[in-house]
Amino acid sequence: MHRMNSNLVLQCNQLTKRYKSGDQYITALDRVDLTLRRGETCAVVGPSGSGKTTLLSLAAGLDRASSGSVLLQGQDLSFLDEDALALLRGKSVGFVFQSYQLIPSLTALENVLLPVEIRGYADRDGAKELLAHVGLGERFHHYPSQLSGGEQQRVALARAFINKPAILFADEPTGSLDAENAERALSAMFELNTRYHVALLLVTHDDELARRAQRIIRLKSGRIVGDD
Amino acid sequence: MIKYILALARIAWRDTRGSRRRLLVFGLGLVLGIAALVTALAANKKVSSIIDVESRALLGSDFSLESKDPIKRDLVSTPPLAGVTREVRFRSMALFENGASLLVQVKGHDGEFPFYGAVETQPPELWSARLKDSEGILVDESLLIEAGASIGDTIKIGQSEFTLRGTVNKIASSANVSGIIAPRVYITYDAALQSGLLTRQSVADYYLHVKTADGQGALTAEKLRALLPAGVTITTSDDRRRRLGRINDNVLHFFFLVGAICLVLGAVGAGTSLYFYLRSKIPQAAMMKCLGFRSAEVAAIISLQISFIGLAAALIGSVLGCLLYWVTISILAGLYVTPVYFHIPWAAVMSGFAVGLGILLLAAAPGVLLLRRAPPLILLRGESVRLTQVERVVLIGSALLASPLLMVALTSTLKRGLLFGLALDAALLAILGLSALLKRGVIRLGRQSSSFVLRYSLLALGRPHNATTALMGAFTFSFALAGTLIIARYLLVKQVELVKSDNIANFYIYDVAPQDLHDIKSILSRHGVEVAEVVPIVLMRIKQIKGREVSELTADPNSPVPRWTLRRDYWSTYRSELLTNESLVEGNWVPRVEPGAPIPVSLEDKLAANLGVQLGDTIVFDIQGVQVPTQVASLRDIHWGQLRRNAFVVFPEGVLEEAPKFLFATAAIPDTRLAALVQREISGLYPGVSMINLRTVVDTIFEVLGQMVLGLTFITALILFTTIVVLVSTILAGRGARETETALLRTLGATRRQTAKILLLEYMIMGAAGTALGTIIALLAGYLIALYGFKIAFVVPSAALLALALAGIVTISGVAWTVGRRALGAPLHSILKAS
Repeated sequence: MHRMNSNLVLQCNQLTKRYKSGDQYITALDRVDLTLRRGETCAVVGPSGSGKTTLLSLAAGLDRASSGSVLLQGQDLSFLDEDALALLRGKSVGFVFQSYQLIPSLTALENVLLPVEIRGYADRDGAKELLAHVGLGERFHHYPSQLSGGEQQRVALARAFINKPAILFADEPTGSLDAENAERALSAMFELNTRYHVALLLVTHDDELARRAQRIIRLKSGRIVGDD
Repeated sequence: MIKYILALARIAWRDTRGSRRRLLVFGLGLVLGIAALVTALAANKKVSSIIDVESRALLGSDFSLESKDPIKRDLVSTPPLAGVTREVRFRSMALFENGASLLVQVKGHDGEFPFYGAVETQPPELWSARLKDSEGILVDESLLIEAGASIGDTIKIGQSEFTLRGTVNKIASSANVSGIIAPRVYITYDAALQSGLLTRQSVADYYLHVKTADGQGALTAEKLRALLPAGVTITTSDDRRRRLGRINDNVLHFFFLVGAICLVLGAVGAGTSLYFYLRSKIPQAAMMKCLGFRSAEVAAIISLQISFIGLAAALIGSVLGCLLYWVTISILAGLYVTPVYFHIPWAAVMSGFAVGLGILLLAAAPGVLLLRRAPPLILLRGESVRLTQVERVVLIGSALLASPLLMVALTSTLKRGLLFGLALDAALLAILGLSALLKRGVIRLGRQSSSFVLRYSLLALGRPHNATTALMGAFTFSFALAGTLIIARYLLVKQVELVKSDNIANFYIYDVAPQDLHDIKSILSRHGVEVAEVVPIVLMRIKQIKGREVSELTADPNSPVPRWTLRRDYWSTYRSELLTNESLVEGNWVPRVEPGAPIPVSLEDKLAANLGVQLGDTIVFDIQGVQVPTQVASLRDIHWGQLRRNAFVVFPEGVLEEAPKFLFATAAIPDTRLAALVQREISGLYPGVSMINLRTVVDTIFEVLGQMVLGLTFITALILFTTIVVLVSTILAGRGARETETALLRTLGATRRQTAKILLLEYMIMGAAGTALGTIIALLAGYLIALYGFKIAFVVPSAALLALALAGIVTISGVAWTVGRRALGAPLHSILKAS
């Protein structure tokens, strides 16, 4: 196990991802180095196919790297099996997806509780507080189909913070929302981020949104071409 | 134009890539539904056509006269006649050369008979030759085997000895089942008269079989009916057809029920998979519209795909249906005396095609409507498309209306078809309603569970596109049917097994003259056997009902009283107590007649209903020429299924003691060899006494039951298989949603084990709920069958039902695991792209 600075949440070293398409090998990510500290916010921008989503999925342990390493909360993901990865994610990671990804058969409150219930406990008060914080205090028992897109994304945000994660991965969190709803969701996200002192890795096409992060990493053809 | 259609067809074909397995399952549901329908229709038509031939062949003549006394030939001298044959029938013990003695049904003919239907003998050509051979005898093939006799042996019947010339292997004028209790032997009419068994007190039936030359049997019989003397009844092939019709109606209803259930299940499977398939095509349809396709073109492409699958399914379903039909008529062939041949049932195949097309239209309608409606904008806004309230009402209404319409078309009768269709709708709606309620209850229970896996599995039942209600409904339907069949079979077997138990009287002795009873008892007690019960039997006929003569009632075309109740002989008895196989439903039981009061009798409740009599009504009985006026004092519900002797009419003590009678005795002889010994000894001394060991009959019934169970198992298997197709199609339909959900759960920290448990538990719960509900319905149906059908105590085959439920849950979970586990391995990063 690697030792690292206690403030470091994520450390990617020479991260590379190649995959085969037909007879050709395509390099989606090419020797990327990246570190994130607790409370730090970082936006990853770049054109389509630049490797933004690949970087996020490798950093979050959703996919395996072809070479290089990812240290999440000090643990090298390449040494962990599927279930250990799942445990680590459940304990230290929060996710926000472009398409919300709520479970349709569960209410808003149940969706928020999902990551902690998997571990065997249910912080109902914490879940209600989070929902109230994102402006859904009156909609605990509504199903996703009864909520608007903006509301669904705010439920997803509350879910992302229920396990008090060390890092939040957000993939185009406002991609499916109109400007007003996008602003409400983003405000809630950055506020919670500050409140819980969580590192944020944000993948977006939106320069405006990217500028709200402390750091902006620019990717092109799988390589980092800028780190402001 | 052709180029244009070909282009659309090419696009339609390409478009099936990636969803061919799902389309295959849709097709399979349709295949099974159509196959079941073709089988049911073809078998139905076959049975109807068999009845026409069978009715004449079973009677053997155009019409037959029947009496308890010999009938003179000149009674039907009206020309033109092609043949008249006399027959006498009675039961007797037959003593074989090897010492075996068995109860047989003796048939003596004095001319050619049957006039219709073939007779097969071994050696051949013996049938006609027997008429000139008064010392020869032919026997049923089964009797030869049972008695262990050989051709050339002597057989003693009454005082006459015959030489066994050969066996009758098949005779059209008697159904095979009639030989179960007493196998038949065939001698000449004169030889039967000379056997010494046809005394004045003996019970025999005399017939005069007539074949008309002009084929106007019904008309001649009708003219003759009015001229017949008292005690002579007439049966025409039309009468027989009506009676056969009633029995066969039940067979036909059963075929229809099974066919309809399979069709409904198949339609559910096909409809569910098709609906989800078409829903998944909505974004693509929107995209095609963005590219310039018109709504009609998008609908045409999808319709081409569906039509192709539908056509292929109809073709395969029809071929499978023909095969199943062939299996069905092979089973039926054993039940009918006329030969049953296989022909391709073209009409049924055409109907199957038409119904398949109808199901296709109904199943495809909601999906195609959505596709036509899907605006290109949904690609940009991600909105969902829904059916309008009106469309929903129209579609549900059409589905509900389809069932009665279909049944009317298939049965060709408005009332029966409507009733059957509406009953099917009601049953379906009730089961779906119960399933929906159960689903709600289970989900509510899930909310209170503390275990994440259990809680999530229960809540997942409410997942959209999971078709939980439809699936639970299908499970309930199948298990209710399978459970009912198991209970019905168990009740039948229990009933029959009663006879096999040592304590039950299984040895019946008929036609005992009162003066012989003492000696027969002595023979039995010498072998350590006690007589269990002695019942006096007095033969009588009805003379008057409520003051109206029977002859008047018979001649009245408006009389609702069935003719058989007026013409039959009643084997009545007298006693002071009720038996265990009957219960008083109305009136008072009178043990002994009061001097000077009208004679109170007790009637079976159903007979009373047929005769149209109530408590206090009068009936005059004719007992060997003496008229006995009586008054109905009580009505009894008799449980005939308990295999204990009872009587339609019971007199109190103090009336019939001096009337001419014979006795019926029972004894418990558990040892079959001892029974045979007793049988031989008694029949040697009293040739007029008949005996039967019910255990032998029970063994034969078990054999017949075995065949029936095989048929029922086949049908149940077909229904369960259709249910599995429904299950597979719905799992495949919801796999996309499950993949995304599983990936999400794992992204949020769930282990593989947890997601696997969720999948298994979800279907185990669904299966358990469906089987539990199905079992409850089966228990209720079984209880009703026991109460009103067999009229015996309801016993639950717990082990068999539990095994069925467990097998059901294991099968459902196994199929779900096999088909659904691929969703567990969905790559996690797919969650980032999924919408």
